[in-house]
Amino acid sequence: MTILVVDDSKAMRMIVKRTLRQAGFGDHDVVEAVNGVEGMSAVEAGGIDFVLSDWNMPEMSGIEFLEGLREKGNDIQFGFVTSEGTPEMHQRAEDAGALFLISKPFTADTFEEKLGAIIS
Amino acid sequence: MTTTETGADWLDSVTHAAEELAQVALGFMGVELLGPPDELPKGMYGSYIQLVGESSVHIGLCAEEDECVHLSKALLGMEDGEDITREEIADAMGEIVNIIAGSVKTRMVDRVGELTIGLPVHFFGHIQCSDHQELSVEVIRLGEIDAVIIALCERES
Repeated sequence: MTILVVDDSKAMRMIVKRTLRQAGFGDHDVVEAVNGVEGMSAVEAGGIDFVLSDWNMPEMSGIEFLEGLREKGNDIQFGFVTSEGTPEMHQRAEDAGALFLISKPFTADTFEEKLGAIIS
Repeated sequence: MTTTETGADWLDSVTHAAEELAQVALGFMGVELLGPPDELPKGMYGSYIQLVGESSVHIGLCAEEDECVHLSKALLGMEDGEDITREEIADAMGEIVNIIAGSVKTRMVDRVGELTIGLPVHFFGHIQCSDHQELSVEVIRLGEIDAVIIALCERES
């Protein structure tokens, strides 16, 4: 499986990749994008199986990215990893078609729980 | 229903968020609150982020340069001997306040209503607040790292 990690913070992309390894998903390929615009290009280029995206990003936010994908009829599996954790944000993510919203700070156990059934 | 929060209210929320961050993301067992500094911090590296709503606040985390390096390496899982660039420090410190902001938003949403989180900024210097603003500051020890947490909001009229 190829996982696309989308976050404007290089630090957070590193942390997400590290946590994926710690959660036991290190055998999967990981590619990166810095915002929703790059993420959209990567998905449309093909080869991406799953998207892990931040919410607040310049140029195109994570929610705009997801909504844009769904408008184009793309049902790629998508999850949020974000500092946003209110019930309203969880609902908005779900309504847009996200499988989950993981709030920062997160642990490898959280990744294993949320991604396990999907990635495995 | 929304309320106008004081600087102390925001700082309390920031403190709890910083404690959660320290334990979950930085791997620090001990978090100690050391009270307000003797004088406002000047000449420190800091990252700040705004939460905007009917009640808005700037929150920040600043520290001496060496402490920012330690905090950044802790977040990134780097060893002490590894090199880290200024850009990586700015990025990591920005992410630290971003995580704190998200936790503050979740904690405060029932009290102040919806908040929008801005993008973090990292700079060297100090905050200068105006007469209509209130600056609340506390020294916090994260593991062995001393840092200053800041909440800047509109002063209650």
